[in-house]
Amino acid sequence: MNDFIDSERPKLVALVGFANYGKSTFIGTLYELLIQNLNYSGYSFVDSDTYVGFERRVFLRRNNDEDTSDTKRNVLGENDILNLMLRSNEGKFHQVLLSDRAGETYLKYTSSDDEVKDDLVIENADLLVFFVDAEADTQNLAVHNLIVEKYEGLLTRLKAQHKITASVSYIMVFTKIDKVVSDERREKLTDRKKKLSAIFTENIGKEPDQIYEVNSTDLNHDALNQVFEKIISPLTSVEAAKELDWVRMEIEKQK
Amino acid sequence: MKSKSKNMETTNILLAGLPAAGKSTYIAALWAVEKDGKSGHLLTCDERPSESFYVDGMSDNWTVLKEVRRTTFAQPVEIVLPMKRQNTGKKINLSLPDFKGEVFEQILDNSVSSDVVAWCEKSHGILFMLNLGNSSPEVLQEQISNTAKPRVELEKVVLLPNDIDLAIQNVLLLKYLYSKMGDCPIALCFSSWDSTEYSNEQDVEEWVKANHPCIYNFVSAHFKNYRYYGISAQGADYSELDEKKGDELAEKATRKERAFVYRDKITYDITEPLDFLIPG
Repeated sequence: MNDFIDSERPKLVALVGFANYGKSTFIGTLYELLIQNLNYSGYSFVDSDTYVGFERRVFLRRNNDEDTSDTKRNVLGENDILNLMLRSNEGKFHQVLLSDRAGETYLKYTSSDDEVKDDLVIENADLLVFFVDAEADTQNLAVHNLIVEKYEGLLTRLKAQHKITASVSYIMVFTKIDKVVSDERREKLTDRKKKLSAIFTENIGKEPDQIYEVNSTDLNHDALNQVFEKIISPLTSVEAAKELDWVRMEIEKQK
Repeated sequence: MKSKSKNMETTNILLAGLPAAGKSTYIAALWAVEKDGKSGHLLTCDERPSESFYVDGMSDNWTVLKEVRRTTFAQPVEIVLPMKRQNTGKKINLSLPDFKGEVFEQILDNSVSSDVVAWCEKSHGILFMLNLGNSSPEVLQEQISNTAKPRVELEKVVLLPNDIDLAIQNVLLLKYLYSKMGDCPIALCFSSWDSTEYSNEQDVEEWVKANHPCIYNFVSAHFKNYRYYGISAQGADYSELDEKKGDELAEKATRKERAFVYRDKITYDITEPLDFLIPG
Protein backbone atom coordinates (compact mmCIF):
# COMPACT_ATOMS: atom_id res chain seq x y z
CA MET A 1 0.00 0.00 0.00
CA ASN A 2 2.70 2.48 0.96
CA ASP A 3 4.69 1.69 -2.17
CA PHE A 4 1.63 2.39 -4.19
CA ILE A 5 0.82 5.69 -2.51
CA ASP A 6 4.30 6.90 -3.26
CA SER A 7 3.92 6.25 -6.94
CA GLU A 8 0.35 7.01 -7.98
CA ARG A 9 -2.27 9.59 -7.20
CA PRO A 10 -5.44 8.13 -5.64
CA LYS A 11 -8.83 8.83 -7.15
CA LEU A 12 -10.97 10.96 -4.88
CA VAL A 13 -14.73 10.45 -4.97
CA ALA A 14 -16.92 12.72 -2.84
CA LEU A 15 -20.31 11.36 -1.84
CA VAL A 16 -22.52 14.37 -1.22
CA GLY A 17 -25.99 14.32 0.26
CA PHE A 18 -28.08 15.30 3.23
CA ALA A 19 -29.12 13.24 6.22
CA ASN A 20 -30.80 9.91 5.51
CA TYR A 21 -30.26 10.08 1.74
CA GLY A 22 -28.69 6.63 1.72
CA LYS A 23 -24.97 7.33 1.42
CA SER A 24 -23.87 4.89 4.10
CA THR A 25 -26.10 2.11 2.80
CA PHE A 26 -24.68 2.75 -0.65
CA ILE A 27 -21.10 2.51 0.62
CA GLY A 28 -21.85 -0.56 2.71
CA THR A 29 -23.22 -2.34 -0.33
CA LEU A 30 -20.22 -1.41 -2.45
CA TYR A 31 -17.94 -2.76 0.29
CA GLU A 32 -19.87 -6.00 0.58
CA LEU A 33 -19.78 -6.57 -3.17
CA LEU A 34 -16.04 -6.03 -3.12
CA ILE A 35 -15.36 -8.43 -0.24
CA GLN A 36 -17.76 -11.05 -1.60
CA ASN A 37 -16.26 -11.21 -5.05
CA LEU A 38 -12.83 -12.36 -6.12
CA ASN A 39 -13.15 -9.95 -8.98
CA TYR A 40 -15.75 -7.23 -9.22
CA SER A 41 -16.12 -5.54 -12.57
CA GLY A 42 -12.50 -6.23 -13.51
CA TYR A 43 -10.97 -5.32 -10.15
CA SER A 44 -9.97 -7.21 -7.02
CA PHE A 45 -10.27 -5.49 -3.65
CA VAL A 46 -6.93 -6.26 -2.03
CA ASP A 47 -6.61 -3.93 0.95
CA SER A 48 -7.89 -0.95 2.87
CA ASP A 49 -6.65 1.20 5.71
CA THR A 50 -10.27 1.74 6.72
CA TYR A 51 -11.78 -1.75 7.00
CA VAL A 52 -13.27 -0.78 10.35
CA GLY A 53 -14.90 2.31 8.87
CA PHE A 54 -16.55 0.15 6.22
CA GLU A 55 -17.56 -2.45 8.78
CA ARG A 56 -19.09 0.25 10.97
CA ARG A 57 -21.30 1.36 8.09
CA VAL A 58 -22.37 -2.21 7.42
CA PHE A 59 -23.00 -2.75 11.12
CA LEU A 60 -25.09 0.38 11.48
CA ARG A 61 -27.07 -0.54 8.39
CA ARG A 62 -27.80 -3.98 9.82
CA ASN A 63 -29.18 -2.20 12.85
CA ASN A 64 -31.17 0.08 10.64
CA ASP A 65 -33.66 2.47 12.15
CA GLU A 66 -35.35 4.54 9.53
CA ASP A 67 -36.07 7.39 11.92
CA THR A 68 -32.42 7.82 12.76
CA SER A 69 -30.55 10.47 10.83
CA ASP A 70 -27.21 9.66 9.32
CA THR A 71 -25.65 12.22 11.62
CA LYS A 72 -25.82 9.40 14.11
CA ARG A 73 -24.90 6.78 11.53
CA ASN A 74 -21.64 8.55 10.79
CA VAL A 75 -20.36 8.74 14.30
CA LEU A 76 -19.03 12.19 15.03
CA GLY A 77 -15.28 12.38 15.02
CA GLU A 78 -14.98 9.29 12.87
CA ASN A 79 -12.75 9.63 9.88
CA ASP A 80 -14.94 10.32 6.88
CA ILE A 81 -12.43 9.31 4.22
CA LEU A 82 -12.43 5.62 3.37
CA ASN A 83 -9.99 3.97 1.05
CA LEU A 84 -10.01 1.00 -1.28
CA MET A 85 -6.92 -0.57 -2.78
CA LEU A 86 -7.80 -2.35 -6.00
CA ARG A 87 -5.93 -4.52 -8.48
CA SER A 88 -6.95 -4.72 -12.12
CA ASN A 89 -7.00 -7.94 -14.14
CA GLU A 90 -3.71 -6.73 -15.63
CA GLY A 91 -2.16 -6.63 -12.14
CA LYS A 92 -2.04 -2.85 -11.88
CA PHE A 93 -2.92 -1.33 -8.51
CA HIS A 94 -4.93 1.81 -7.93
CA GLN A 95 -6.48 3.45 -4.94
CA VAL A 96 -9.89 5.04 -4.51
CA LEU A 97 -10.66 7.43 -1.66
CA LEU A 98 -14.30 7.83 -0.73
CA SER A 99 -15.40 10.87 1.21
CA ASP A 100 -18.50 9.93 3.20
CA ARG A 101 -19.33 12.82 5.46
CA ALA A 102 -22.35 13.04 7.70
CA GLY A 103 -25.31 14.71 6.03
CA GLU A 104 -25.21 17.29 8.80
CA THR A 105 -21.95 18.63 7.39
CA TYR A 106 -23.56 19.43 4.05
CA LEU A 107 -26.60 20.89 5.77
CA LYS A 108 -24.29 23.38 7.46
CA TYR A 109 -22.74 24.17 4.07
CA THR A 110 -26.16 25.38 2.87
CA SER A 111 -26.23 28.10 5.51
CA SER A 112 -22.68 29.21 6.10
CA ASP A 113 -19.82 30.38 3.90
CA ASP A 114 -17.44 29.75 6.79
CA GLU A 115 -18.33 26.07 6.76
CA VAL A 116 -17.65 25.85 3.01
CA LYS A 117 -14.47 27.84 2.72
CA ASP A 118 -12.14 25.27 4.27
CA ASP A 119 -13.50 22.38 2.23
CA LEU A 120 -10.80 20.61 0.27
CA VAL A 121 -12.62 17.45 -0.69
CA ILE A 122 -15.17 18.86 -3.12
CA GLU A 123 -12.63 21.21 -4.62
CA ASN A 124 -10.25 18.38 -5.38
CA ALA A 125 -12.64 15.53 -6.11
CA ASP A 126 -12.23 13.61 -9.33
CA LEU A 127 -15.88 12.62 -9.17
CA LEU A 128 -18.77 14.13 -7.24
CA VAL A 129 -21.71 11.88 -6.49
CA PHE A 130 -24.81 13.80 -5.43
CA PHE A 131 -27.44 11.72 -3.65
CA VAL A 132 -31.16 12.36 -3.63
CA ASP A 133 -33.64 10.36 -1.59
CA ALA A 134 -36.13 9.39 -4.30
CA GLU A 135 -38.65 8.18 -1.76
CA ALA A 136 -38.72 11.56 -0.02
CA ASP A 137 -38.50 13.49 -3.28
CA THR A 138 -41.66 11.87 -4.62
CA GLN A 139 -43.77 12.50 -1.55
CA ASN A 140 -45.57 15.80 -1.24
CA LEU A 141 -44.41 18.91 -3.03
CA ALA A 142 -43.28 20.60 0.16
CA VAL A 143 -40.66 17.91 0.80
CA HIS A 144 -39.48 18.11 -2.79
CA ASN A 145 -39.24 21.90 -2.52
CA LEU A 146 -37.09 21.57 0.56
CA ILE A 147 -34.74 19.17 -1.23
CA VAL A 148 -34.46 21.64 -4.11
CA GLU A 149 -33.90 24.53 -1.73
CA LYS A 150 -31.18 22.72 0.19
CA TYR A 151 -29.29 21.66 -2.93
CA GLU A 152 -29.65 25.14 -4.39
CA GLY A 153 -28.20 26.59 -1.19
CA LEU A 154 -25.34 24.10 -1.21
CA LEU A 155 -24.44 24.55 -4.86
CA THR A 156 -24.68 28.33 -4.70
CA ARG A 157 -22.23 28.50 -1.81
CA LEU A 158 -19.87 25.97 -3.35
CA LYS A 159 -19.87 27.92 -6.59
CA ALA A 160 -19.35 31.25 -4.84
CA GLN A 161 -16.34 29.84 -3.00
CA HIS A 162 -14.94 28.37 -6.25
CA LYS A 163 -15.16 24.86 -4.84
CA ILE A 164 -17.05 23.60 -7.84
CA THR A 165 -16.53 24.45 -11.51
CA ALA A 166 -17.74 23.29 -14.89
CA SER A 167 -14.64 21.11 -15.27
CA VAL A 168 -15.82 18.73 -12.54
CA SER A 169 -17.16 15.31 -13.33
CA TYR A 170 -20.40 14.68 -11.46
CA ILE A 171 -23.33 12.30 -11.36
CA MET A 172 -26.68 12.28 -9.58
CA VAL A 173 -27.90 9.19 -7.78
CA PHE A 174 -31.54 8.82 -6.77
CA THR A 175 -31.64 6.25 -3.98
CA LYS A 176 -34.42 4.07 -2.49
CA ILE A 177 -35.92 3.64 -5.93
CA ASP A 178 -37.57 0.43 -4.75
CA LYS A 179 -39.88 2.63 -2.68
CA VAL A 180 -41.06 4.52 -5.75
CA VAL A 181 -43.49 2.03 -7.22
CA SER A 182 -46.86 3.49 -8.18
CA ASP A 183 -47.38 5.17 -11.54
CA GLU A 184 -48.13 8.41 -9.77
CA ARG A 185 -44.83 8.32 -7.86
CA ARG A 186 -42.92 7.36 -11.02
CA GLU A 187 -44.39 10.32 -12.87
CA LYS A 188 -43.46 12.63 -10.04
CA LEU A 189 -39.94 11.29 -10.07
CA THR A 190 -39.54 11.92 -13.79
CA ASP A 191 -40.73 15.48 -13.37
CA ARG A 192 -38.74 16.22 -10.24
CA LYS A 193 -35.55 14.69 -11.57
CA LYS A 194 -35.73 17.17 -14.45
CA LYS A 195 -36.27 20.05 -12.08
CA LEU A 196 -33.39 19.07 -9.80
CA SER A 197 -30.94 18.33 -12.58
CA ALA A 198 -31.71 21.72 -14.11
CA ILE A 199 -30.66 23.33 -10.84
CA PHE A 200 -27.40 21.38 -10.87
CA THR A 201 -26.79 22.31 -14.49
CA GLU A 202 -27.44 25.97 -13.81
CA ASN A 203 -25.15 26.15 -10.78
CA ILE A 204 -22.31 23.95 -11.98
CA GLY A 205 -22.39 25.10 -15.58
CA LYS A 206 -22.79 21.69 -17.15
CA GLU A 207 -25.23 18.80 -17.15
CA PRO A 208 -24.56 15.78 -14.94
CA ASP A 209 -22.50 13.05 -16.64
CA GLN A 210 -25.28 10.63 -15.78
CA ILE A 211 -28.39 10.35 -13.60
CA TYR A 212 -29.01 6.99 -11.92
CA GLU A 213 -31.90 5.48 -10.03
CA VAL A 214 -30.69 2.85 -7.59
CA ASN A 215 -31.79 0.43 -4.93
CA SER A 216 -28.76 0.12 -2.66
CA THR A 217 -30.10 -2.93 -0.87
CA ASP A 218 -30.20 -5.02 -4.05
CA LEU A 219 -26.70 -6.22 -4.88
CA ASN A 220 -27.79 -7.20 -8.38
CA HIS A 221 -29.37 -3.87 -9.28
CA ASP A 222 -28.01 -2.88 -12.71
CA ALA A 223 -27.92 0.87 -12.22
CA LEU A 224 -26.32 0.46 -8.79
CA ASN A 225 -23.56 -1.66 -10.27
CA GLN A 226 -23.03 0.90 -13.03
CA VAL A 227 -22.44 3.61 -10.41
CA PHE A 228 -20.08 1.35 -8.48
CA GLU A 229 -18.10 0.63 -11.64
CA LYS A 230 -17.78 4.36 -12.30
CA ILE A 231 -16.55 4.91 -8.74
CA ILE A 232 -13.95 2.16 -8.58
CA SER A 233 -12.50 2.54 -12.07
CA PRO A 234 -9.01 4.07 -12.10
CA LEU A 235 -8.23 7.59 -13.14
CA THR A 236 -7.49 8.18 -16.78
CA SER A 237 -3.91 9.19 -17.52
CA VAL A 238 -5.02 12.82 -17.96
CA GLU A 239 -6.81 12.85 -14.63
CA ALA A 240 -3.91 11.14 -12.93
CA ALA A 241 -1.55 13.89 -14.02
CA LYS A 242 -3.38 16.38 -11.80
CA GLU A 243 -1.30 17.11 -8.72
CA LEU A 244 -3.01 16.54 -5.41
CA ASP A 245 -0.46 16.63 -2.64
CA TRP A 246 -2.99 17.32 0.08
CA VAL A 247 -4.53 13.88 -0.39
CA ARG A 248 -1.20 12.25 0.37
CA MET A 249 -0.92 14.40 3.46
CA GLU A 250 -4.39 13.32 4.56
CA ILE A 251 -3.45 9.67 4.11
CA GLU A 252 -0.26 10.12 6.06
CA LYS A 253 -2.28 11.67 8.89
CA GLN A 254 -4.61 8.68 8.96
CA LYS A 255 -1.80 6.13 9.34
CA MET B 1 8.14 -25.63 27.76
CA LYS B 2 11.68 -24.92 26.65
CA SER B 3 14.26 -27.61 26.07
CA LYS B 4 16.25 -26.92 22.98
CA SER B 5 18.56 -29.65 21.85
CA LYS B 6 22.12 -28.53 21.58
CA ASN B 7 23.81 -28.14 18.21
CA MET B 8 20.50 -27.86 16.41
CA GLU B 9 19.37 -24.92 14.36
CA THR B 10 16.23 -23.33 15.78
CA THR B 11 13.42 -22.23 13.48
CA ASN B 12 10.77 -19.98 14.97
CA ILE B 13 7.35 -20.17 13.43
CA LEU B 14 4.60 -17.84 14.60
CA LEU B 15 1.44 -19.83 15.21
CA ALA B 16 -1.30 -17.23 14.86
CA GLY B 17 -5.07 -17.18 14.75
CA LEU B 18 -8.15 -15.79 16.43
CA PRO B 19 -9.80 -17.61 19.36
CA ALA B 20 -11.07 -21.11 18.47
CA ALA B 21 -9.09 -21.14 15.22
CA GLY B 22 -7.63 -24.54 16.11
CA LYS B 23 -4.10 -23.59 17.18
CA SER B 24 -3.90 -25.72 20.31
CA THR B 25 -5.64 -28.68 18.68
CA TYR B 26 -3.09 -28.58 15.89
CA ILE B 27 -0.20 -28.65 18.36
CA ALA B 28 -1.85 -31.51 20.24
CA ALA B 29 -2.32 -33.58 17.09
CA LEU B 30 1.16 -32.75 15.84
CA TRP B 31 2.77 -33.98 19.00
CA ALA B 32 0.54 -37.04 19.33
CA VAL B 33 1.35 -38.15 15.80
CA GLU B 34 5.02 -37.25 15.61
CA LYS B 35 6.43 -37.81 19.08
CA ASP B 36 7.37 -41.45 18.50
CA GLY B 37 9.38 -40.52 15.39
CA LYS B 38 7.78 -43.32 13.39
CA SER B 39 5.36 -41.52 11.12
CA GLY B 40 7.61 -41.26 8.09
CA HIS B 41 6.23 -37.75 7.60
CA LEU B 42 8.14 -34.80 6.18
CA LEU B 43 9.01 -33.81 9.74
CA THR B 44 9.17 -36.21 12.66
CA CYS B 45 10.32 -35.97 16.21
CA ASP B 46 14.02 -36.65 16.38
CA GLU B 47 14.34 -37.15 20.09
CA ARG B 48 12.12 -36.72 23.11
CA PRO B 49 12.58 -33.27 24.63
CA SER B 50 13.89 -33.36 28.19
CA GLU B 51 10.65 -31.79 29.32
CA SER B 52 7.35 -32.21 27.52
CA PHE B 53 4.72 -31.95 30.23
CA TYR B 54 2.76 -29.19 28.51
CA VAL B 55 2.43 -30.79 25.06
CA ASP B 56 1.97 -34.24 26.54
CA GLY B 57 -1.06 -32.93 28.39
CA MET B 58 -2.46 -31.52 25.18
CA SER B 59 -1.86 -34.68 23.18
CA ASP B 60 -3.37 -36.83 25.97
CA ASN B 61 -6.66 -35.03 25.51
CA TRP B 62 -6.41 -35.50 21.77
CA THR B 63 -5.76 -39.22 22.20
CA VAL B 64 -8.82 -39.76 24.39
CA LEU B 65 -11.03 -37.73 22.03
CA LYS B 66 -11.47 -34.81 24.39
CA GLU B 67 -11.47 -31.22 23.28
CA VAL B 68 -7.98 -29.84 23.69
CA ARG B 69 -8.39 -27.17 26.31
CA ARG B 70 -8.07 -23.66 25.02
CA THR B 71 -4.94 -21.84 26.03
CA THR B 72 -5.66 -19.43 28.85
CA PHE B 73 -2.21 -18.42 30.07
CA ALA B 74 -1.53 -14.71 29.90
CA GLN B 75 1.97 -15.37 28.62
CA PRO B 76 2.52 -17.57 25.57
CA VAL B 77 4.01 -20.99 26.21
CA GLU B 78 6.98 -21.57 23.96
CA ILE B 79 6.91 -25.08 22.59
CA VAL B 80 10.19 -26.39 21.25
CA LEU B 81 10.10 -29.67 19.39
CA PRO B 82 13.30 -31.35 18.21
CA MET B 83 12.40 -32.44 14.71
CA LYS B 84 14.13 -34.05 11.78
CA ARG B 85 13.47 -33.52 8.10
CA GLN B 86 12.97 -36.93 6.60
CA ASN B 87 14.22 -36.17 3.11
CA THR B 88 17.47 -34.49 4.16
CA GLY B 89 18.00 -35.75 7.68
CA LYS B 90 18.46 -32.19 8.82
CA LYS B 91 17.69 -31.66 12.51
CA ILE B 92 15.73 -28.62 13.62
CA ASN B 93 14.46 -27.24 16.87
CA LEU B 94 10.97 -26.21 15.86
CA SER B 95 9.85 -23.41 18.12
CA LEU B 96 6.15 -22.47 18.25
CA PRO B 97 4.40 -20.14 20.67
CA ASP B 98 1.07 -21.28 22.12
CA PHE B 99 -0.70 -17.95 22.44
CA LYS B 100 -4.28 -17.74 23.57
CA GLY B 101 -6.43 -16.54 20.68
CA GLU B 102 -7.61 -13.51 22.62
CA VAL B 103 -4.10 -12.08 22.32
CA PHE B 104 -4.59 -11.93 18.55
CA GLU B 105 -8.17 -10.73 18.92
CA GLN B 106 -6.91 -7.79 20.98
CA ILE B 107 -4.80 -6.69 18.02
CA LEU B 108 -8.09 -5.80 16.31
CA ASP B 109 -8.71 -3.47 19.21
CA ASN B 110 -5.28 -1.84 18.86
CA SER B 111 -4.00 -3.58 21.96
CA VAL B 112 -0.89 -5.46 20.94
CA SER B 113 0.95 -7.69 23.38
CA SER B 114 4.70 -7.17 23.53
CA ASP B 115 5.05 -10.96 23.32
CA VAL B 116 3.39 -10.95 19.91
CA VAL B 117 5.70 -8.18 18.75
CA ALA B 118 8.72 -10.15 19.96
CA TRP B 119 7.55 -13.30 18.16
CA CYS B 120 6.87 -11.36 14.97
CA GLU B 121 10.42 -10.07 15.06
CA LYS B 122 12.07 -13.44 15.51
CA SER B 123 9.83 -15.70 13.42
CA HIS B 124 10.73 -16.94 9.99
CA GLY B 125 7.19 -17.62 8.84
CA ILE B 126 3.55 -17.72 9.89
CA LEU B 127 1.33 -20.72 10.49
CA PHE B 128 -2.01 -18.97 10.31
CA MET B 129 -5.03 -20.89 11.54
CA LEU B 130 -8.58 -19.97 10.58
CA ASN B 131 -11.92 -21.43 11.47
CA LEU B 132 -14.61 -19.81 9.38
CA GLY B 133 -16.96 -22.76 9.36
CA ASN B 134 -19.16 -23.00 6.32
CA SER B 135 -20.01 -19.33 6.17
CA SER B 136 -20.27 -18.19 2.61
CA PRO B 137 -20.45 -14.72 1.08
CA GLU B 138 -24.14 -15.18 0.27
CA VAL B 139 -24.92 -14.91 3.96
CA LEU B 140 -24.12 -11.23 3.71
CA GLN B 141 -27.10 -10.67 1.46
CA GLU B 142 -29.32 -11.52 4.38
CA GLN B 143 -27.54 -9.05 6.61
CA ILE B 144 -28.64 -6.06 4.59
CA SER B 145 -32.31 -6.85 4.80
CA ASN B 146 -34.47 -3.77 5.17
CA THR B 147 -36.48 -5.53 7.81
CA ALA B 148 -33.58 -6.03 10.20
CA LYS B 149 -34.61 -4.97 13.67
CA PRO B 150 -32.38 -2.63 15.61
CA ARG B 151 -30.34 -4.71 18.02
CA VAL B 152 -29.24 -1.75 20.03
CA GLU B 153 -29.93 1.94 20.08
CA LEU B 154 -27.72 3.54 17.47
CA GLU B 155 -26.51 6.34 19.68
CA LYS B 156 -25.08 3.68 21.97
CA VAL B 157 -23.39 1.74 19.20
CA VAL B 158 -19.83 0.76 19.85
CA LEU B 159 -18.32 -1.41 17.17
CA LEU B 160 -16.61 -4.33 18.86
CA PRO B 161 -14.16 -6.66 17.13
CA ASN B 162 -16.76 -9.41 17.14
CA ASP B 163 -19.19 -7.18 15.25
CA ILE B 164 -16.76 -7.27 12.32
CA ASP B 165 -17.23 -9.96 9.69
CA LEU B 166 -15.09 -12.95 10.71
CA ALA B 167 -13.24 -13.11 7.40
CA ILE B 168 -12.38 -9.41 7.76
CA GLN B 169 -11.23 -9.99 11.35
CA ASN B 170 -8.76 -12.44 9.87
CA VAL B 171 -7.73 -9.98 7.17
CA LEU B 172 -7.10 -7.35 9.86
CA LEU B 173 -4.93 -9.79 11.77
CA LEU B 174 -3.04 -10.71 8.60
CA LYS B 175 -2.62 -7.02 7.87
CA TYR B 176 -1.06 -6.50 11.28
CA LEU B 177 1.28 -9.47 10.87
CA TYR B 178 2.28 -8.26 7.42
CA SER B 179 3.07 -4.83 8.85
CA LYS B 180 5.42 -6.44 11.38
CA MET B 181 6.90 -9.33 9.39
CA GLY B 182 6.64 -8.20 5.78
CA ASP B 183 6.49 -10.65 2.92
CA CYS B 184 7.42 -13.84 4.78
CA PRO B 185 6.35 -17.44 4.07
CA ILE B 186 2.81 -18.08 5.29
CA ALA B 187 0.75 -21.25 5.50
CA LEU B 188 -2.96 -20.56 5.89
CA CYS B 189 -4.73 -23.50 7.46
CA PHE B 190 -8.51 -23.75 7.48
CA SER B 191 -9.31 -25.92 10.48
CA SER B 192 -12.22 -28.31 11.05
CA TRP B 193 -11.84 -29.39 7.43
CA ASP B 194 -13.75 -32.59 8.20
CA SER B 195 -16.85 -30.41 8.71
CA THR B 196 -16.23 -28.17 5.73
CA GLU B 197 -18.27 -28.42 2.57
CA TYR B 198 -15.98 -28.77 -0.41
CA SER B 199 -15.72 -30.75 -3.60
CA ASN B 200 -13.01 -33.36 -4.02
CA GLU B 201 -12.41 -31.93 -7.44
CA GLN B 202 -11.63 -28.52 -6.02
CA ASP B 203 -8.24 -27.77 -4.49
CA VAL B 204 -8.19 -25.72 -1.33
CA GLU B 205 -6.93 -22.58 -3.04
CA GLU B 206 -9.91 -22.65 -5.40
CA TRP B 207 -12.13 -23.20 -2.37
CA VAL B 208 -10.70 -20.10 -0.69
CA LYS B 209 -11.20 -18.07 -3.87
CA ALA B 210 -14.83 -19.13 -4.03
CA ASN B 211 -15.69 -18.90 -0.34
CA HIS B 212 -13.41 -16.25 1.14
CA PRO B 213 -12.31 -14.02 -1.74
CA CYS B 214 -11.36 -11.12 0.52
CA ILE B 215 -8.80 -13.32 2.28
CA TYR B 216 -7.48 -14.66 -1.01
CA ASN B 217 -7.17 -11.18 -2.53
CA PHE B 218 -5.39 -9.76 0.50
CA VAL B 219 -2.93 -12.64 0.77
CA SER B 220 -2.10 -12.81 -2.93
CA ALA B 221 -1.48 -9.05 -3.05
CA HIS B 222 0.87 -9.03 -0.05
CA PHE B 223 2.60 -12.42 0.23
CA LYS B 224 4.57 -14.07 -2.55
CA ASN B 225 5.22 -17.32 -0.72
CA TYR B 226 1.89 -18.56 0.54
CA ARG B 227 0.06 -21.85 0.57
CA TYR B 228 -3.42 -22.89 1.69
CA TYR B 229 -4.34 -26.05 3.57
CA GLY B 230 -7.49 -27.57 4.91
CA ILE B 231 -6.72 -29.20 8.25
CA SER B 232 -8.59 -31.57 10.45
CA ALA B 233 -6.49 -32.01 13.57
CA GLN B 234 -9.24 -33.82 15.47
CA GLY B 235 -10.22 -35.99 12.52
CA ALA B 236 -13.92 -35.65 13.32
CA ASP B 237 -16.47 -33.58 15.18
CA TYR B 238 -16.51 -35.08 18.69
CA SER B 239 -20.14 -34.16 19.20
CA GLU B 240 -21.10 -36.60 16.48
CA LEU B 241 -19.19 -39.56 17.89
CA ASP B 242 -20.86 -42.60 19.39
CA GLU B 243 -18.78 -45.42 20.89
CA LYS B 244 -18.34 -47.21 17.56
CA LYS B 245 -17.28 -44.09 15.70
CA GLY B 246 -14.99 -43.21 18.58
CA ASP B 247 -13.31 -46.58 18.33
CA GLU B 248 -12.90 -46.13 14.59
CA LEU B 249 -11.27 -42.75 15.17
CA ALA B 250 -8.93 -44.26 17.75
CA GLU B 251 -8.03 -46.99 15.25
CA LYS B 252 -7.19 -44.31 12.74
CA ALA B 253 -5.01 -42.61 15.35
CA THR B 254 -3.08 -45.85 15.80
CA ARG B 255 -2.44 -45.95 12.06
CA LYS B 256 -1.60 -42.21 12.12
CA GLU B 257 -4.51 -41.59 9.80
CA ARG B 258 -6.77 -39.60 12.09
CA ALA B 259 -5.56 -36.05 11.57
CA PHE B 260 -5.29 -34.98 7.97
CA VAL B 261 -4.49 -32.12 5.65
CA TYR B 262 -6.06 -31.28 2.33
CA ARG B 263 -4.64 -29.34 -0.58
CA ASP B 264 -5.98 -31.21 -3.61
CA LYS B 265 -6.35 -34.53 -1.86
CA ILE B 266 -6.31 -35.85 1.68
CA THR B 267 -2.96 -36.79 3.17
CA TYR B 268 -2.21 -37.69 6.76
CA ASP B 269 1.02 -35.74 7.05
CA ILE B 270 0.00 -32.77 9.16
CA THR B 271 3.59 -31.53 9.18
CA GLU B 272 3.20 -30.38 5.55
CA PRO B 273 2.42 -26.74 6.43
CA LEU B 274 5.38 -26.59 8.82
CA ASP B 275 7.69 -28.20 6.29
CA PHE B 276 6.59 -25.57 3.78
CA LEU B 277 7.53 -22.81 6.23
CA ILE B 278 10.89 -24.15 7.35
CA PRO B 279 13.71 -22.92 5.12
CA GLY B 280 16.21 -25.19 3.44
